[in-house]
Amino acid sequence: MLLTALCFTLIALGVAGITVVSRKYSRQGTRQTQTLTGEFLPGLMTLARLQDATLNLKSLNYQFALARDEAAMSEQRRAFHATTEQVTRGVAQLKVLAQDEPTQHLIADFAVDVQSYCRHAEKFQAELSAGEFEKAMASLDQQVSPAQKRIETQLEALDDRYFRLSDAAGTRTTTVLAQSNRFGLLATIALTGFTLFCLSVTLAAIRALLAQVERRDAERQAAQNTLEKRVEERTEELAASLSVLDATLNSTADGILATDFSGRVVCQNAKFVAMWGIPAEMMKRGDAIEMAAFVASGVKDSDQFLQRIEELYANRGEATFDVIELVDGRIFERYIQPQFAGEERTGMVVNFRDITERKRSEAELEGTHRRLLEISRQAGMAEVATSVLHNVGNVLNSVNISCSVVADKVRKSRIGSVAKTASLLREHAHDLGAFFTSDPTGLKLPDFLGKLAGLLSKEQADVLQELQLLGQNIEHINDIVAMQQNYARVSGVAEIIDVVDLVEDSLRMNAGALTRHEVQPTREYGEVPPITVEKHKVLQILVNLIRNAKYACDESGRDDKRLTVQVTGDNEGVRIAIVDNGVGIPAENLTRIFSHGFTTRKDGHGFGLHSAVLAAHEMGGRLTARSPGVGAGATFTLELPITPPREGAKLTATHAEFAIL
Amino acid sequence: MSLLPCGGSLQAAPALAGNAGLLGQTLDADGVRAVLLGKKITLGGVRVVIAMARTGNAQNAFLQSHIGMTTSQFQNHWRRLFMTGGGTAPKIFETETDARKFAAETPGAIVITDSANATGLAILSAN
Repeated sequence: MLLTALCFTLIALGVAGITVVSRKYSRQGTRQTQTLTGEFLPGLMTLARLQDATLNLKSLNYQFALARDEAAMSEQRRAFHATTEQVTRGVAQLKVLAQDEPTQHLIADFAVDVQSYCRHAEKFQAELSAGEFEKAMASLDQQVSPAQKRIETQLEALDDRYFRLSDAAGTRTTTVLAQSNRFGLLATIALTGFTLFCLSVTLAAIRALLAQVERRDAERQAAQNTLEKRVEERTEELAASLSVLDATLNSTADGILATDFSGRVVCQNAKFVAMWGIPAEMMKRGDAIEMAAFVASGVKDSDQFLQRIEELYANRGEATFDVIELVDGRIFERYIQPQFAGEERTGMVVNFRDITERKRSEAELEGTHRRLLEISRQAGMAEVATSVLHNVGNVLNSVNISCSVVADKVRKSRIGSVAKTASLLREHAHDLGAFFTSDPTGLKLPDFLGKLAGLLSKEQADVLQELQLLGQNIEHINDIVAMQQNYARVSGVAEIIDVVDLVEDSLRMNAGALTRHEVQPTREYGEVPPITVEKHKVLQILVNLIRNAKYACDESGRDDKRLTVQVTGDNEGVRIAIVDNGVGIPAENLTRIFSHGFTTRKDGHGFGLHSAVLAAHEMGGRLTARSPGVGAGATFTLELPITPPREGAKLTATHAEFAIL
Repeated sequence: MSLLPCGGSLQAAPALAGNAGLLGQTLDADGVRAVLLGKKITLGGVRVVIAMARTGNAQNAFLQSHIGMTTSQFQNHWRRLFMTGGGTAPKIFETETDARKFAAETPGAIVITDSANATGLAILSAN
């Protein structure tokens, strides 16, 4: 159909185009014809009449000369004058017809010559009348005949011009007509061909349309049959649904009432009647307003109850929920849902649920919950204590090692050499001079004493360093204990610290262990701002992470055990990453590595990372773990904010939260 | 034919007179008619030139009696003859006196005049 419409539109456009072009040709032809018939042909005719008239003038002039008598002369003179007027009118008519300037000039010249000729002819005639034949002859030869010649010449020129103009106009007209005819013929052929094609297309489209109509009619008939069958089926289904609905309404534990907005009860179930104790007669009347007044008598706040019903009718059953307390102690929940017919609200369905038992259970559950919370808090305290003991145990290892190192250094001290030297000096007390100057031993003694002093000084420095480390570890134990007290108080004291210093302290606390296990620490510290944080919590976390990294490297058995500590940060916070090339973490363990009790070490407690993530969350930060897989090392990243979160915004860590980290 | 002296005492009558050179030429009625109508254009070997007054009683009477034409008809005759190349048109003068004077002075010229006034002219034919 679209193609047909397109075809006919194209035909209409073609006809319109042909009409426009034909009109153009017609206008051109009309213009040429008008020029030809309105100017040139009348001009030629007028010119012919003028030629005739001028010839007539000449003839009349001679006829006058040859007139038999006076009467004939008078007659010829009148005829001459009449012809002169005819010529004058013809000239005037030519002037009117002439459109171009050259022709108008020719006509003007011709008019002058005609006047001149007439003047001379009249003079000639007068002379003839007077019998002045010689004068007349002279006038004829010298004036009349040249004037006559000029007129003839002018007429020939005009005639030639008009013929040329007419010929040109005729040629143009013929050309336009020929073009118009050619165009008309071609356009007619093209349009006829296209029209035939369009008719063929239209016929094909009509046939297709008829076939489509027949097919659709068959489909419609089939659809109607299907629909009728569906209606029958749906009717049966509806009857079954109504049966199910009725059974559902009466099987539910809730009381259900449906009303329309005119106050009529549409349906209700037996539970509704039982819950409110509505008399059977009242149910038969089906007046919802009457029922509302009846049930309001059993409600604690009956006025509010009735007011609420009025509002529901006014709002046309807006979806709401409320709780109704009855005077007999029962508590009902009331759900109201509007009923729609299309987009229009036609009524509302009210659902009453007796929640008296549930309310009582909820009250009992609340008490149980409070008790559980207290127990949980106590369990948390125990976890904190376990964590503290674990960390104290870690530091005590360092203390023990430091003590062993100091004891070993003292045992191996060269202080015995001093005693030997003193004994030697006492032996040579009587001849110290000779001893120092002649005895080979005495000669070596000053150098020996110098070297001994150096060794003892070094021993002293080593011992002092180890003792200092020991003191720091003991101080760390104090801090851990103090931290335990902080945990007990739930809040700690935040102070502004340099993160790099803190990282260095944690490395120092593990320095001995790292050295023993040949783990090479690498430091990659960026420029980071100071942060406000509880520093012992951070220290606890870092000590744990470094110690774990050491274990991971040790267990890998590789020679190049590396531990890299990276510190980066921005205006939001700092990130401390502990990267090792140890045994790595399997993907399945990454999700539970922070859970309490999870460990992969035989002697592990499964508490270090758990307490670390707890501490990170308490400080408003977070601790995450990444590992490409087994044997590929691991990275633990501690992120901390620049300033700690507000007290109320602090995260309360639970086991469930850390389990998914 | 006789040559009348000017101021002769002949009885007045219209006559066809000519230049003295035509003396001896006599024209009868046919001869006058032939000369006046242009059919005879020489007299005595000389080309005839007709001189006429614009009007005149003698002239009218002579023309009427010899060729049956008035002066106007005569002029019309000669106009047609002249226009068709039939002859030399008559010389028209305002007065008969002027015409006579022209005839007296012009060889071959003839004039219609009262015979009493044809002094110095040769009378070719009398009425």
